[in-house]
Amino acid sequence: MKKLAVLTFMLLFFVLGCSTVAPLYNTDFNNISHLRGEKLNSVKVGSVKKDLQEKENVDYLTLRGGKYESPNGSFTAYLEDALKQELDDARLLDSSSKIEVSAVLLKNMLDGSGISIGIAEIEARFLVNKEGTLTYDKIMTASHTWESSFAGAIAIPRAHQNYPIVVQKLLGKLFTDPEFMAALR
Amino acid sequence: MRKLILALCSIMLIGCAHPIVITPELRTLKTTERNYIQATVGYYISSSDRDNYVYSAGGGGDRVYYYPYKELEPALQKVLFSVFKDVKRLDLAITPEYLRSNDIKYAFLPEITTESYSAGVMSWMPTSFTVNLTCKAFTQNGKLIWQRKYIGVGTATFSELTKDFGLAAKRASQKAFSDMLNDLSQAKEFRD
Repeated sequence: MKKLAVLTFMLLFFVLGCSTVAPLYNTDFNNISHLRGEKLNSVKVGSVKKDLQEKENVDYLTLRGGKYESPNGSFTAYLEDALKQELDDARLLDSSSKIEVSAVLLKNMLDGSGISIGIAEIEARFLVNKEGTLTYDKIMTASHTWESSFAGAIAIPRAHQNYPIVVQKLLGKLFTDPEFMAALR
Repeated sequence: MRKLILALCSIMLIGCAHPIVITPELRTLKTTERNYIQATVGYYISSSDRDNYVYSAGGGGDRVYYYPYKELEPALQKVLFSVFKDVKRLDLAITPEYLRSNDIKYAFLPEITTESYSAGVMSWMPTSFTVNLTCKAFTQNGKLIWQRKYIGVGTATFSELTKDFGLAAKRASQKAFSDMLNDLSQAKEFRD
């Protein structure tokens, strides 16, 4: 009986995870060529907040029982950092600009529990203010799936590495929205 | 029930291959030069290289696997976008006609190999990683005008690797592409 308990513990150890920190965001350079070619005005990035009315806490993610933390302190700060990095790489970031992009993170989900597929979903409301006037207000969503596994040693690293891709996809949708482009002209 | 758990544990304990990502933190690839060269450049990675994943040594008899070209492509893009006005991915083999018709002034051709090692017996993450990066640049006429080789070596301790499984690899690729960026931003060959 004792052996069975030890074996069960070992099995759980390999299937479950402990606390991990998400990779820092990396720009998706497929967006950059498009942004540089559009002759847009420089912008500054305002705050990215969470909707306090939402039941789910967008700043709290778990991965196979272990906490999945943001390297920026929160996932709202992660999205803010991602926006800044993309715009900076496109040479469009200017803290003195009169055009401000801000966002509200509405949904943030990471599911690495599946034995065949992992899923991440994200939803945010993006706002553009030009000299105090709201010129853009739209909700964008993105989802991303990847091949998962029963074994935590494979499933956890895969989920860990795939979360930033859903953020890249969300920003890719924003940067290819003609209305967003128009708000930055 | 006991047999089932024993079988599952055996599967878990037998050496296996673990995925890691070797893309460096792109924000660490920086140049002080803000004025980029007013030219469009292209780079070519074949689809077979992009889809190719490789296995290399991890710890405890395990191996790690990753996609060298696909995962280092963003670093190459960051380097080229930091130096040139625009960068195009070339999906066809480079020909002078194609480069001229698409107004691509220079074409870059990277070649990447990797090695890994782990000092860990009980952990699978590589504690040491090497990225060998060779990059060539050609003019529209197909003349080789620039060629460099960079060797990036990265190491990480076990406590660091528990937070980021591919940290040694990321440090190695960061070193290789950082050296390339420094070289390229000062290269006279691209400034007419």
